[in-house]
Amino acid sequence: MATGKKTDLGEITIQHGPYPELTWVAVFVGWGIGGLIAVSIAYAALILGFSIEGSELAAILGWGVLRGVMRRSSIVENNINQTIASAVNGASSGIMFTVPALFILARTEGLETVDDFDLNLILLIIFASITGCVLGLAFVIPLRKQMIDFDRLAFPGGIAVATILKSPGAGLKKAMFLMSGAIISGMIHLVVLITMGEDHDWQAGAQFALPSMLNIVFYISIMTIGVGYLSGKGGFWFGAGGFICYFVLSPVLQYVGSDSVQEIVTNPNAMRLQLYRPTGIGMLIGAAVGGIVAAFPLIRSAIHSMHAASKEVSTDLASQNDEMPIRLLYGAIVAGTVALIAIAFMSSEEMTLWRAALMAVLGTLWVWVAGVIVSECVGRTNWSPLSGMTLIAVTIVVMIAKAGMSDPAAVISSMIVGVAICLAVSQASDMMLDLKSGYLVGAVPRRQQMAQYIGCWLGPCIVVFLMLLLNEQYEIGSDKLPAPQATALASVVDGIMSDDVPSYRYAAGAGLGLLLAFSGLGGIGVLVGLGFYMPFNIVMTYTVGNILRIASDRWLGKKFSHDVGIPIAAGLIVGEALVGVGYALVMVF
Amino acid sequence: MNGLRFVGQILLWLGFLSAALAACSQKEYDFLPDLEKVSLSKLVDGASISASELQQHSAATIEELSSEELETLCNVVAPILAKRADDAKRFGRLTNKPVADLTPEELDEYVSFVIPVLKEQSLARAVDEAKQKAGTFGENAEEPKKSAKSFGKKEFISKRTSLIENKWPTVNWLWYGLSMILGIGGVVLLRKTSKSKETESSRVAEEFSIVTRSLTDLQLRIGELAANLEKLAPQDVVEFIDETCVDPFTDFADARNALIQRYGLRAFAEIMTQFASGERFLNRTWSAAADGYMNEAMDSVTRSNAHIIRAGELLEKYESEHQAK
Repeated sequence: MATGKKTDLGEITIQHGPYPELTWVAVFVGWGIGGLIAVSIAYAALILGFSIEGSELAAILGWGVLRGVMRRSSIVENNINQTIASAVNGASSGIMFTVPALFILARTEGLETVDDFDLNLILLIIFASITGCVLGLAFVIPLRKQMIDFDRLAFPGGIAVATILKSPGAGLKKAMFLMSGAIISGMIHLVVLITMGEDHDWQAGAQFALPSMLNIVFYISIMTIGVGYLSGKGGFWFGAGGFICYFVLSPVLQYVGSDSVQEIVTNPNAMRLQLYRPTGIGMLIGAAVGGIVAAFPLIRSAIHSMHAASKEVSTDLASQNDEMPIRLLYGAIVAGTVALIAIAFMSSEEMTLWRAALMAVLGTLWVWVAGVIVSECVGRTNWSPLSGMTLIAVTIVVMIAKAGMSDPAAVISSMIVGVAICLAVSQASDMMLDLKSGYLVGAVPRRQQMAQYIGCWLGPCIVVFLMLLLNEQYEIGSDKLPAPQATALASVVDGIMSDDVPSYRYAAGAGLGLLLAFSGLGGIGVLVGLGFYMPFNIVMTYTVGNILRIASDRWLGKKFSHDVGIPIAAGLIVGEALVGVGYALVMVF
Repeated sequence: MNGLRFVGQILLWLGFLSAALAACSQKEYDFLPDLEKVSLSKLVDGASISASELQQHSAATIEELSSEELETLCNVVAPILAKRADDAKRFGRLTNKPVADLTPEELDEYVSFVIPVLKEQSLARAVDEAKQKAGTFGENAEEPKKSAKSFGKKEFISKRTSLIENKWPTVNWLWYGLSMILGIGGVVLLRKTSKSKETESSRVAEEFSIVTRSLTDLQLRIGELAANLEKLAPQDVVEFIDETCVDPFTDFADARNALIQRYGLRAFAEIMTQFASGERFLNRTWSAAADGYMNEAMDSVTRSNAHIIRAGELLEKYESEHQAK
C-alpha cells in the first residue's frame, strides 16, 4: 500500500487512512510519560526548590517512544501525547508549591494540627486539585482566539515544543540547528552546574566596580537567551521593567526614600523582596484587569463566534467550528464552582456555608484573572508569576476564613481552596502554551482541549500520594526534604495570619498597572509588572536574547531568524531543560 | 500632532515613575516608635536565636512586649546575635579552604574553634536521628515531628510591624495621586492623538497596503497549492509552504494593527479569525505532508484556502464600508 519517494530529507512514505491525532496510543503514552515526569520533577522540586517545565521533555520522550519505538509517524499525534503529558505534570508544580506548606506550618505554635491528614482530607485535596484543573481549563479555553489568533503571543516554550515536533519533516539543516543549539546549551549548563552549582550568576557589576544598587548580575543560562530570542521585540518591556527598578527607582530612592529604604537601597535583593516584588504583583493584577477591559470587544467577539458555531452545523468550510462547545465550558465553570463550595464546606467542621460560598466564588473569579495574567506572561516571556498569583489567592481565602474560624481550621480550608486555585492557574497557562504549539503544527484545538482534560486528573492523584509518602519517610521541611517553595508560602501564610500583608503596595501597583494598560501600548503593563516581579539577573540575560533577535531581524533578515535563529534558540531551551532534569535526578538519587 | 504625542509619552512616563517612587519610598518599619527602631537597630543580620532560648529571656512573645520591654530584650539578645554572626563568619573563613592550606595560626584556631562546633553538630544530628527512630518504633510513634522556630532581626521586625494597625500610609498617597493624575493626562493625550493619527498617518496606510498585498499573495499561493497538491510529492508540498507562504503570513501578522485602526476591533476580530484558521490549516497541511498523509494534506489545504478566501472577502466588505463613510 505504502509508496515511497526519495527526497532531500530521505524518504517520505505515503500513508493511507485517517491522520492519527487523538488516539488511545497517544493517551496512554501521554499518561505514562506525564506520570514519569511528574514524579521526577515533583521529587526534585521538594529538594531543590524549583520546578522544571516538562513540555519540551514530554515532546522529546514522546518523539522517541512514538516514532522511535512504536514506528508511528504523526506530528499531531505526538502533539496530543505531549499535551496530555504536560497536563499530568502540571500538577507537580501546583501541588508541590502549596500542600507541603501545611506540613511546615504545623511547626508554628497554635497550628500543630494542620498536618493531621486523614483519608477524607487526602481525598478532599485530590478532589480540590482536579476541580481546580477543570475550572482553569474552562476559563482559559475561550481566550485561545484572543491570545493566539489575535494577539499572536510568542509563547517561546510553545515554539520550542513545535520545533521538536516538526523536526522530522523540517529538513536536515533545521534539525541540525536544533541539535547544535541543544548540545551547546546542554554542555554549557552542565559545566556551569558542576563548577558553580545552583547559584550560577555572573556578578558583572561587582567585577567592573559598578554600584551594587544597579544590580548588574547575569543569570548564566543559555536557555534564557534562547527564550529572549524567541520572544523577540515583544518581550522588550519585560526587560524595561527590571531596568526601571534598578537603574531609575533605586538611584532616586537613595535620595528621596525614607531612612529605612535608603538603608537597603544598596541591597538589590532586599529592595526586590520588600518593595519591587509586591508592587510588581499589584501591577500584574491591575494590568491584567485593564487588559481584559481593553480587549473586551475581542474577547466578546471570540466567545460570540464560539456561540454561533455551537448553534448551527455549517457545510461552509470557513464556518466550521474547531473549538470545544461553549456550553460545555459554561457547564464546567458552574460545576467547578459548586464543587469548590462543597470542598471548602467539607474542609473544616467550623466552616459555614456562606463562608465556603464566598471563598469559592472569589477563588473562581481569581482563577480567571490569574489565568489571564499567567498565560499572558508565559505567552510574552515564558516566565510564569504562578507563585505571586497563588500568594494573592491564598491571601484572599485566608482573609475570609480567619474572620470567624480558629487558626488551624482557617489554614487548612484556605490551603485546600488555594491548591485548587494554584492548579487552575497552572493548567490554564500550560493549556495556552500547548495550544500555541498545536497552532504551529496544525492541531485541532478541540482535540487538544479534550486531551488536556484527559490528562489533568492524573497528576494530582500521583503527586499527592507521592508527597504523603515522602513526608512519612523523610519529613517535608527537614534537611533531607527542604521544600523551599512551600517554606516560602508557609511564611507568607504565617504573615497573613498575623495581618502582615502589604495590601497597600499591591493597591499602588494595581494603579500603575491600570495606567499602563490604558495607555494604548498593548500588553506593556503586564510586561513591566513582570519585570518588577522577577529577579533582575534573569531579566538581564533575557534582554541579551531580545537584543540578539532585534539585531538578527534587522541585519540578517526575518527569514534568517525563522530558518536559523528560531531552531537554534529552541535547541538552547531544550538542551538546558534536559540537562537540568538530568542533573536534578542525579543530585536526588 | 507628533509634538502632542511626545508630550503625552513624557507625561505618562513621568507620572508612572513618580507614582512608583511614591509606592516604594517608605517601609512599614518607618512607622514604628523611635524607641523600638533604636532597639531593633542593635540587632545584627545573619544570626538567630531559638524560640526556647528567647523564652528564657522573656516569658511574653515579641508582639506582647511594650516598647520598653522590647528595648530590654534587644539589649540582651543583641550581643548573643552579634557573637553568633561573628562565629558564623569565622567558621566560614576557616572552612572555606582545605585544611592543608591553613596557616599555623589558622590551624590552631581550627582546632580550638571549628572542631568543637563540628562535634556539636554531629552529636545533635545523631540525637535527632535517634529521636526519630524512637518516634517511629517506640511509644512516641504518634507524636508529630516538630522543629524549633528561630528568630533573627528580620523576625523581630516582622513581629513588631505586624502590630501597626494602619499600614496604608506606608505609601505616600498624596504624592502617588498627583503623579497618577499626571500619568492619566499623558494617557488622555496619547489616546486623543492616536485617534487622529489613525486616519491620517502614512504608516497606517503603508501597513494596510502590506496587509492587502500579503493576503492577495496568500490567496494566490494557497490556491495554487490546493489546485496542484494531488500532483505533488510530500516533500514538494513541505518545500512549497516553507519557501512561498511563510513570509506573507509573517508580513500580514506584523501589519495587522492597521486593521484595528482602519475598521475597528470587531472587524479586526472577524478577519483575524479567518486568517489564523487559514494559517493553522496550512500548518496542518505541512505536518500531514511531512508525515506522508497526503489525503489529510489535501483536506487541510482546501480548508486553509477557504479561510483565506473568506478573510479576503471580509477585507473587501469592510473596505467598501470604510470608503462609503
